Amino acid sequence: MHLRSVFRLVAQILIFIAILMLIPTVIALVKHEDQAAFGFILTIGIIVGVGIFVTRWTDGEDYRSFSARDGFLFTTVTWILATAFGALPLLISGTFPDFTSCFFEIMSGFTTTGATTMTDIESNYQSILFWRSMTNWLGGMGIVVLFVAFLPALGASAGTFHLMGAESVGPVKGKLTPKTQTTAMILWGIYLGFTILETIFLMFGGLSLYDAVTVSFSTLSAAGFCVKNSSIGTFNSSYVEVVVIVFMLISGANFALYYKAFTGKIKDCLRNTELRWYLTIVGVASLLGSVWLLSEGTFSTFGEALRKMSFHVISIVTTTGFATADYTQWPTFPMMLLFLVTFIGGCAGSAGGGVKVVRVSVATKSGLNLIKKKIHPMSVVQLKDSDGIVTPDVVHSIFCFLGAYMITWLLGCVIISMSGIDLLTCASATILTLGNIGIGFGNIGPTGTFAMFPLWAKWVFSFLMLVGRLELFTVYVIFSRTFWKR
Amino acid sequence: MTAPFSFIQVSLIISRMKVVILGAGRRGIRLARHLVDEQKDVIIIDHRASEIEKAMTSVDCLGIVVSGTDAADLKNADLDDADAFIALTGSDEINLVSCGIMAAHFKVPVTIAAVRSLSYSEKGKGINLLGISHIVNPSQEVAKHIYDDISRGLYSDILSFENSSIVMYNVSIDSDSTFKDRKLIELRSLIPGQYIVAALRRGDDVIVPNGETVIREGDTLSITLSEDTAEEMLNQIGKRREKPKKIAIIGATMVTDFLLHQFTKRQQKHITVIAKDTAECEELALKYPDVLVINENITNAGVFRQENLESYDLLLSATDNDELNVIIASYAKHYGVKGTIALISKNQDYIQMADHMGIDNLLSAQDITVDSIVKFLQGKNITNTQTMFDGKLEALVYTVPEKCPIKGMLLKDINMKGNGLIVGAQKKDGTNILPGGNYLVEEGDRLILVLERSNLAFIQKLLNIEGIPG
Repeated sequence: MHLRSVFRLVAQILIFIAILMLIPTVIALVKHEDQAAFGFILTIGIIVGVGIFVTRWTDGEDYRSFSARDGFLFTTVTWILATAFGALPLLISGTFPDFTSCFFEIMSGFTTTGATTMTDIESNYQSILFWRSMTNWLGGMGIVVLFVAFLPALGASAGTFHLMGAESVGPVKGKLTPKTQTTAMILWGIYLGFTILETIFLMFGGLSLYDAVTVSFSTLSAAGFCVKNSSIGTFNSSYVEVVVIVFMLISGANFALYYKAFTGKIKDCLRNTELRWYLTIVGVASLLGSVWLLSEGTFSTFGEALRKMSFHVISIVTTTGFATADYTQWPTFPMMLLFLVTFIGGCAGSAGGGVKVVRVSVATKSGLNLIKKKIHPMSVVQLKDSDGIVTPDVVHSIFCFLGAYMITWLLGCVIISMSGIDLLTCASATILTLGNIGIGFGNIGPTGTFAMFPLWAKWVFSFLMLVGRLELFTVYVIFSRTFWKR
Repeated sequence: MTAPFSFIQVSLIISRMKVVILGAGRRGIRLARHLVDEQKDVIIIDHRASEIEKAMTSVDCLGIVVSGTDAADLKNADLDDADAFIALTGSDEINLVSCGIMAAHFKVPVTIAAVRSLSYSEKGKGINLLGISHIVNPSQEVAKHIYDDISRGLYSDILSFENSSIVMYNVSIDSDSTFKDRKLIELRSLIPGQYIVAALRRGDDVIVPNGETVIREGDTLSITLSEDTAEEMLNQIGKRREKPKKIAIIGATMVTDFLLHQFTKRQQKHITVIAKDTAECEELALKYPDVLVINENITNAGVFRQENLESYDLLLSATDNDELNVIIASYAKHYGVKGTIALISKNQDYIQMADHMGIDNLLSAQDITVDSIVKFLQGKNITNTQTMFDGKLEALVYTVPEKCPIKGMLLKDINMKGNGLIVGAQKKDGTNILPGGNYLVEEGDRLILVLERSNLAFIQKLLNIEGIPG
């Protein structure tokens, strides 16, 4: 392990984040939010100070020999420190009185969870809210990926692949182009392009530039922070809802597919197994739910029922967590559909969280194959998808992931239940943080916040959000003895 | 909607050269690493998923699991627009077929196949075999390299260049060196004579120096000088360069065959081949009647005494067995053979491991093959490439063609922007000069350039060399 190189790189990525923090600083200065501006400037000062100190201390280290192990450590440490430093402006500006809530809020931001402890969002500084949405956006495609894209020093070292691998989501890590750096640039380019596009569309819907940018930040990252108290419902516009639906759907699919589509391989994209599963899940759940809502009389027209149901199905399956209605008041069946998609999440290589569609599809297919194998014990069954054969190694890792995910959820539930809050809320709060969704059931539906939980529970949630975003093992390996001893 | 994206795509993807390597074995990965260092886009393909994964985690390249002989799959994987295709699998047939598909079907401008079998190689010379631009026979390349080494003397700290009396010599600066703590420009007045400091190594860094560079303790300087001066210098420090005459070759492999082929009849009279395979021995004895062929297993230690091996100038251990080659070369050195060379063809890590076994020269067949491919890719006016300081620097020989941007320029007017250094030149008439600022570059001059690998693209652009010959 190359501890000093890891520290050096972490220091540089923190300085990079400090530079990005200049954007909300400018907003604070323009809007005369002095307390917030002070918070940002002080934080930038601290980061740059620490960063320069560590860079000096580790002079002469390079990153050429970065291994997978270094990648895990680097990514986890980066995420924790970025959150800790990112939370400072909130603390200094007095958004929350305690550091725990600030840390929780920013962890929720970077991990694109979108869960909040703010009770009256609109009463906060606009620059702070902007920074909150910006953390969503940075975390969506990944801070490390962004860093890899723009730090020329990382250049052509093979280590960059390990860095990106530790942060990108999905069972198989891949590349779009020969150079890791180019891949990172393309991913961020696509991401930025979609963000700008959504901002423009939202501004056509009458949103101010500030609202449009912050909503776009939280949509494309499948995160769900909103600068308004009633989320997207505040705008009360079907146009805005449709725009958000479309871009949420985009954020939940594999970004590599967009690259393929742009390079003229649209047919290949449409043939993608995961994309088909993803769209089918969204379509079936939306249709069933809206028919039910109509027959139960919750909504008077099918159009409205479909609009509300599909919005929330997509919001939850992509793990965004925007809301336009309080679905906790709906009949149980549509609510159960929403609860079900909580466990699925977006596609591999997307900005979404959760267990990922590809894992669900492979697990389902393996189950079906097992049935076949039970009937014909000697039969040769191969698991295939549009990218070819899914090797037993990958299948194995998928089941390990599913198992670890479930265990993490259940243990999380047990720990959180010590807070004395009701069972549904606890179970839901745990999965919505682990899956980086942000809205749940019980008392933490679209109208609820995490303010009711005690401080210690917020640290547990912060941990769950981190392991959920980095797909468990990137974080868990750091806690294993072997990682440090051998 | 794709505006920012296509900008990135255009500026980044299209500008780089796309090289596809078939075969994610050690050789493929080594070549990939070299080409990535030269800022090329490298795609490694192989039908084995596990090998592809290994390649992707060790080199910054794209790996694709695809069969090299399936035209439809190759097209699907977007490989049909590659600038160069290099087939390095262990199978001659696959290498030839895949290169054939690439050259004839997809019109990839440059295709290189590694073909071990002699008959293919002989056919490949001169005639257009499947449209393949270049066929590399690893055994032949190795034999050529060994022959060059033997005919030049055996010192690894001296680089020499074909048909040139300019050599590069590495000097370490220790605590009582007169060079210590001085600017390069001061050296001129301290030590008269014809030389140029081409490169300087400090720790892990390699510096292409200028006059203001200060020399520190622990640095290694690479100095270009004429062979006569070098000879003088070497004599002073007690190293004699002697070309070996009596040579023993262990193993009757293809390398042995190719190597013997290069020696004159007179030279062959001083060569002994020791190999255990009777049929191979008989074949060699028939082909090279002047060579003494001994059919005996070299692991039988009695052979050393019986054949008076201690009287030999050089022992080359070139069997198919890497471990055996290392052991024999090491033992021979202790037994009293003046110089020993061991050939490593499979596991090149042995080169590192066997560093302390007293063997004079450990040759990696993979490195030699990769170097010859790289040399071919570097362009038609570059004839000779040598790596220095563990591959951190390269020295190339560039022949100034009729159309060349720097032709007719004075050396001091050529702005290399610190990307490289011209450290030696040979005029058309054969005179060697160590060029100063007023040296005039003329057509037909052979220039020795020293540069870092990542700057190759810059130099190619400066000299207007097409990166890959068409």
